[in-house]
Amino acid sequence: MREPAVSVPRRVLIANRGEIALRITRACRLLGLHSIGIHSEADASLAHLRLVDETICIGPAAASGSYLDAARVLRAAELTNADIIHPGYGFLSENADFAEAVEQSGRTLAGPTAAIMRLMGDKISAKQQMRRSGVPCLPGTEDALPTDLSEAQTICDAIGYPLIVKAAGGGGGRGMRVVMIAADLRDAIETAREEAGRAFGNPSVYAERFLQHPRHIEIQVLADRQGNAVWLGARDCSIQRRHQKLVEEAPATGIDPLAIAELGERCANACTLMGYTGAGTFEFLYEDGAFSFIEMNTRLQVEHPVTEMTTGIDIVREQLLIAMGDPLSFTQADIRTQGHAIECRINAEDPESFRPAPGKVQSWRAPGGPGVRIDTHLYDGYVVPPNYDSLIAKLIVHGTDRTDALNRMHAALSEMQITGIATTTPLHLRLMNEPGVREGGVSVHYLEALMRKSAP
Amino acid sequence: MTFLEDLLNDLPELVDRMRRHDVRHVSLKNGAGALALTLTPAPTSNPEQTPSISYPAKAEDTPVPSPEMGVFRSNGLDATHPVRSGEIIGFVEAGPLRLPLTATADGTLGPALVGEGGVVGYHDVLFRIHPDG
Repeated sequence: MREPAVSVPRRVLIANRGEIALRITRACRLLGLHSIGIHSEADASLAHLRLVDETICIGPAAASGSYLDAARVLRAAELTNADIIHPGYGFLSENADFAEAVEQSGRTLAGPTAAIMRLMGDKISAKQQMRRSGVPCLPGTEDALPTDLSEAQTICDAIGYPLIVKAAGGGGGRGMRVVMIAADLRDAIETAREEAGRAFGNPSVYAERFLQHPRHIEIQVLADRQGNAVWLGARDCSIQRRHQKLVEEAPATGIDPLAIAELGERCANACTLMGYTGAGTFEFLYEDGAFSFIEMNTRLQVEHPVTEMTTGIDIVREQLLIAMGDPLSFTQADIRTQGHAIECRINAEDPESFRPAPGKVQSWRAPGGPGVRIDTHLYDGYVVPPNYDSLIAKLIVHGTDRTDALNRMHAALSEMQITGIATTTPLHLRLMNEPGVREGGVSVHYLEALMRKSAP
Repeated sequence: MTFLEDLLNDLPELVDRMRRHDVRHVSLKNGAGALALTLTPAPTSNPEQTPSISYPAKAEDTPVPSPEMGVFRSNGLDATHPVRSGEIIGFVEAGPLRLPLTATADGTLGPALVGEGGVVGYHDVLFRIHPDG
């Protein structure tokens, strides 16, 4: 195993909770790093807090007063003398102001610089950067739509319909409107602007061609501070509901590996060109054999384990090594993907209505066997608080091929037991046997259509 | 700057000089403002290394939580010291703020559960107060 490049112990503050905090703790322990766990008042019994070297309660249960409060997280870093902050995903992980404050405090964020976060956080500047790097984008506006609606209409008519109006500073489906015909454009722009201003503090919107039945394909990258960048294969995350992914897999089935490889090379080159560091994900829509860039996530993704399972690379460990200044220990030529991996997100939600279902876990029995991995912070008696995201476990399997992986997932889901609260497990069990899922290559609308069809 | 702000800035040096010259009490006046300082005994070990003290909590004891995440500063009160609810029994430094730690009940103060200069979390219990009688 490669040792850290520096001889002095490095202190890592884990600025997150739940399964991802446990995942980062494990990587710290693997590297012999001093780990510091922060938590809210509601989270004092989180599983990773038993494993870290130091803990500190940073605030009340509400995320706005704890995990989302940049000043508190930074104060915790100062009090505990942390020199690296790993933000995980969600919360402050893509907050450029936080990244800048971390830089100004003399600490290192396990991620890209604040400047890169800002570049990629604004969807318009991100698309401009992608075009400069040769990464394929949808036909659409180069800049924000003008405030003059007549001018905006002329520009959008030239793009053609259907199109989608999107918030420049947005994500997660907010500030987004699909326009099927020209007559609906003005209302859509005004509504999207209003929503974007409210949600993101930036009312700028842009327009691009709307794909009707795309798949969601993404490329995982890693880039070090020495200018080396690699891509680690593609993931298919098309099974989603309201833009929230539910099942992810790697590799992306039914797409020419040479086309994926060409796209991956372009993504890695884009990282080098912009000076990207750390782990990141380029997200694309894929329809009719063409990829179109949607956005770049400048952080670790929930679904990173499927890439780890197919490449054998520990992405979180690499993130920490990069933050410590180490160069990547492998080149693109060293990366091989093997077999097929699937991840099911187990959420504390009603499997039909998707309503959050917090509460006490009476008993938890993890599945096992060859090729089965579970990333979770659950234990018997754990109380899922109502204050945060409902993700409580990620069940990941690795098989020799896609059919083998689907079969292993079904078996693992059947074996897994979580009692006391409702979870999405029954839905996943059903999905593993659905003809569309068995065949592969479904679009991002598949799950919602399936749920509508089976609604009483 | 106000008299009080000036004084807070100079406090570490003032305390240091009081210790060196064995001065226990100082009274300061400036216009409408006045302040009396009473020096507590100096800590006997490296404060950063002081481990949390294990103290068996009793059901009837009232906990005194830290008002914020920060650094604990003792007020020099001994364990078994009688306190009244609202009395200042220590401080927590949270960034530039020095927040008072006040007794949450009348009774007898137990020993501090964290050493002088120790890092404390939000609402960490720093003392327990045993009811009198």
